[in-house]
Amino acid sequence: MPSPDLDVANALQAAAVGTVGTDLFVGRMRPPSDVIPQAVLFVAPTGGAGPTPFLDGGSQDYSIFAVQVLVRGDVGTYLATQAKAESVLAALHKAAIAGYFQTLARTPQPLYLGLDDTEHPIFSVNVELFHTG
Amino acid sequence: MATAAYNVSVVVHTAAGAGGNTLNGINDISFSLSRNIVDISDMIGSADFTKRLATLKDFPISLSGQYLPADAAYVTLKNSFSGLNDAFIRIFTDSGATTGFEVQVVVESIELSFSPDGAQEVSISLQSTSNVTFLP
Repeated sequence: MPSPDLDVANALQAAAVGTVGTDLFVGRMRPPSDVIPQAVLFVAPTGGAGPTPFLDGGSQDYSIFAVQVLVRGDVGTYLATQAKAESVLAALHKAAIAGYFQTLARTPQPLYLGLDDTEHPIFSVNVELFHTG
Repeated sequence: MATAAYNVSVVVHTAAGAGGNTLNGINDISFSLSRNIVDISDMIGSADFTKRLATLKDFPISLSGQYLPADAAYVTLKNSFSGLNDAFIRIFTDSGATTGFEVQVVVESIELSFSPDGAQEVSISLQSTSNVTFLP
């Protein structure tokens, strides 16, 4: 079973969009702390489609994994956070991620989710990773 | 009790019998056992019904799914289309790959289709050129 959230995080790190464990984390968004910066990326699995078996004696399935990247920016940095989210989308749309035959963004631009309780702007980027195996 | 369709597999070989390779990436298989029916009604005497004769057998097969050009089974079919080798199809309906059918085929067509939001796809049409063998 692949780990699409981790694979996306590693792909973002390889594209120099973030650094895993520093400003890029796997899992649901957490508030700023000693280890979680204000400007941060969170990568979480959000379901998908399948698995649909192939007609090969049941050995392989076709699955589409959905992953969401939440982009949180510093307070008062809407445009910079939007630009960060756009760089996430650009890095993931049609990215060649090992184990998946294609990765596609599901919207043409990041979605603005508004301000969190402490007025940090938040954007989301949703992608699908296509897998057979 | 019904049987799960994902237990079905298609094996392609260049000769009859065991061996060959499973065709991967397939998500739709159609296989029929049919005979040409000839009307031999004679209306002789009091006969008031249609009489038919089952003649030549035919076993067309159609396969479709993801296009995997390096797949060994697909290569065998492609080579058969090019006249480089014979092609024998075994369709197994159980997970143990023991029960099913075997027939020699000629490749009628290989159709490739591409759309931007999915995998490359292939549809293969096969026509039988032998009698069917029921397996095991």
